[in-house]
Amino acid sequence: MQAIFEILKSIYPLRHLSEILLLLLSMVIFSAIILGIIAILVMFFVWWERKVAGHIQSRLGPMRVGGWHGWAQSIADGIKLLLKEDIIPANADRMLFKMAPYIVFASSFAAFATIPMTRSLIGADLNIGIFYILAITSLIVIGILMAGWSSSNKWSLYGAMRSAAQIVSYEVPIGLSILVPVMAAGSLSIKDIAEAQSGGIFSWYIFRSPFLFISFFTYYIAAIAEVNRTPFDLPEAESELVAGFHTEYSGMRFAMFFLAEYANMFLVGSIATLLFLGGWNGILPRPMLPEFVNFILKSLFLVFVMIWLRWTLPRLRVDQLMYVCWKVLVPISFFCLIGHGVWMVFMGEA
Amino acid sequence: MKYLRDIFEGIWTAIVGLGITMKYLFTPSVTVQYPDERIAVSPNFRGRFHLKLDKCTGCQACARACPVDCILIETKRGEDKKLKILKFDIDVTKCMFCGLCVEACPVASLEMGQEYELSCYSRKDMIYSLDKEYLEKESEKVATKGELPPSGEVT
Amino acid sequence: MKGRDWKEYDELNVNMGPQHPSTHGVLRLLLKTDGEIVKEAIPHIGYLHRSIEKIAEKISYTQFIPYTDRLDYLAAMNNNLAYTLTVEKLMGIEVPERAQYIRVIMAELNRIASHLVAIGTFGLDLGVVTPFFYAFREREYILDLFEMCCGARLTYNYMRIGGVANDLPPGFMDRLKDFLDYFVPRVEEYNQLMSFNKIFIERTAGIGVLPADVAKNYGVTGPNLRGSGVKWDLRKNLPYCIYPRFEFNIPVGTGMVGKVGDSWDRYWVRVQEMLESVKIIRQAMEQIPGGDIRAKLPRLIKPPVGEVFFRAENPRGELGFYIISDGSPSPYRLKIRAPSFCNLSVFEEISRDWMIADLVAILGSLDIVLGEIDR
Repeated sequence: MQAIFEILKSIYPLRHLSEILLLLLSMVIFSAIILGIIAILVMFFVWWERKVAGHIQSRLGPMRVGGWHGWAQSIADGIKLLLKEDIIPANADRMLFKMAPYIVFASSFAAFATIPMTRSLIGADLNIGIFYILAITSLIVIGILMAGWSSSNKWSLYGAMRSAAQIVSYEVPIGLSILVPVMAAGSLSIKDIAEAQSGGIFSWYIFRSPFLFISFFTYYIAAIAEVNRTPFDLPEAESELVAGFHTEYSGMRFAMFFLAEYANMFLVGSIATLLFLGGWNGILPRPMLPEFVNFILKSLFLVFVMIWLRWTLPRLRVDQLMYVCWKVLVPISFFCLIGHGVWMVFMGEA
Repeated sequence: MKYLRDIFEGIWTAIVGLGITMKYLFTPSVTVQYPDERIAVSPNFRGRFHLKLDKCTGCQACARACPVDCILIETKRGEDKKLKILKFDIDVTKCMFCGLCVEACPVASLEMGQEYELSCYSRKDMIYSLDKEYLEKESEKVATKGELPPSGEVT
Repeated sequence: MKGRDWKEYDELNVNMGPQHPSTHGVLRLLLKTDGEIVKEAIPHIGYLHRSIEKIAEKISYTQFIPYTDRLDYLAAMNNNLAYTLTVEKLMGIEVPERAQYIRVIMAELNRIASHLVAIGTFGLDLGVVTPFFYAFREREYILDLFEMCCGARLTYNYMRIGGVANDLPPGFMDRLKDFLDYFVPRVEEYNQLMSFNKIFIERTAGIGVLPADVAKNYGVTGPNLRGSGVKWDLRKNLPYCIYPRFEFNIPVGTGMVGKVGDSWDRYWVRVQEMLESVKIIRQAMEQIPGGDIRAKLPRLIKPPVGEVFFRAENPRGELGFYIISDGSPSPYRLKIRAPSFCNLSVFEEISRDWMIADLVAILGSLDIVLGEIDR
């Protein structure tokens, strides 16, 4: 964002505008770029998920729109959703019903502000970047609750209540697992954490200590639950709650939820990449690929694993979900947190 | 101990399952792209009806065999004492394609072909006038000197 | 509050169905829930009623065979078989040997197909989508075989009174053998993907336990009864057709991962039954003789005056037909004892105090088909 600000400043007619205005303008331009990247990636994820699911299930997936393997399927779907009638149930709480999708999408989109996709492509390098992400993604649950409540549908309400319990609980193991790399790097800034992992695959945090290795997995599992993906997709459990909190949504409002879900998947993938898999650093100490490509490839792999898991595993039950969180993930991540502290002391890294 | 074993089992069985889905991710799929490719149906498929009018004696055996009374045959005694078929309609909105009529036909004039795409835009089109269809086809055959492909061919 | 009990406010009445992804058709469950816990689940049926029993009184005995296809539409061959055996019992018809073998092969193939759908949709209910597609892929091979024989893929109308409609087409036996060789290793894959998956076991073991005495009291039959550990299979206990000539086991629930009679046991009995059916088909393929496929009968079937009840082992349990004949070409009364109907009746008993997610698992493990419940 700083770079955009500098460029704007150097353009002649803009030079006379006030600093504040230029700053605002650069913010808008930056968020447009990020929104573009996210939108394209989400389109790709939707298509990719359907293709992977298809091939896993001995099918082909979308094949017709756009020629090669139906690559334009998600564009067609997007247009369809845009053109669909916007239905609001008669008994719905109209204001909340309309607001909910925007809150969900905005909070997942806002989290990307502090994600450094490369060394320089970063919205704001906050010194508490990871903390900010934890805070802003927690807002999603409010949107989901609003959607479930305002639909005035009992199944939606069930989905929303499940979602509230689930997301709030899973914040705990996520926070604890994130603390381990934070501790290792000694900084809450995501950029610093990623920077500390430069220099080949063995300087990635996941391979630095056994505790970091385990906390990568606890983070990843908890994060899958956080974004409501199978096996933790209880808020929208299709066979139980029809579609959970977004049962009553149609058209563009539904598309917002959809967009947010896939954007969240990418968010989880990118955080895991930045904190544990070296971020934009390549496998070899010498840079081989552009930073952005490194980052995207790793995140895509993590997203693929999420898709792969979804089409393999059954869904947990509510109490089992809580069991996994409080009795498995939280103790293990606590153990890792303390263990890594001890490790740092003994290995002289502290 | 059971706690640790449960966690291990959970992870291990998930990995086994992931292995199977990964295996299928790279095996060719079994489905075909339907309107472009078709799987040929078996020769005795019970699809659309065809009538060989020249063989039909108008005995009404098919109409009697039908469980849902969807065959309507009108006949007239001709001058040569043979029954002349005025009308041979099958109402496929009622028909359940059980094939009992074909089985009942003593002279094998009623047949079920292999066409299975029978959707149409109006209910009128769902009443097949098999006698007229046959006559039309015959006249076409005369016009093209029998160069028409055999009926019921599936590409 | 207007003299109402506080408890009334504690409970939330939810309609599950008639349009719901996991009620397997148009079934409505009225749930009284307390949070996630279901206090009571009352099934409401009748959305698919087509008065098949009444129709039977207006049409001839042969004409009713296509209607039996539409009872349990996932096991049409077995319905055909049960009905034709009933009429044959009433008339005392001897069916030719070859037709007997063909009937057994078809019935067992259809049992496999039906169980494939059962376990596939059971997985779907628990959120694992992929085995459903695998199950349908395998089922498609069976449907291809049926299409070769009778020309239809779902409503076969293949059995006739006194035999079967067509002889086996050339090449059938080879394709059948290929299918069986292909199919058996696939079952192992289902086991790895579903049966022994930890999450799957957690979701089904010990859930919806159906004790043997309750099952007997409600008239539960088929895999659901056997899942409760009762060794009762009409193919062995009251043999019909030529089943005594084949060697096969009757799998029963043993409570391998939970309690006897839980959802996992009912599911596991189905998986094993598919392999037993493969055994039966293999033996029948070896033994099948040549000869006629239909007994010599008049075109219009007029059974003697009398009444008859006959039941046969369907994939979902005992399908019984009760026919009163007054000597005319159509039955005076035809009553169908549908297995799914009895199996569903026990649902209210075993679904108390489970969670909504378990309810779906229990209903899926009972494997009902609404076409047969509502008739």
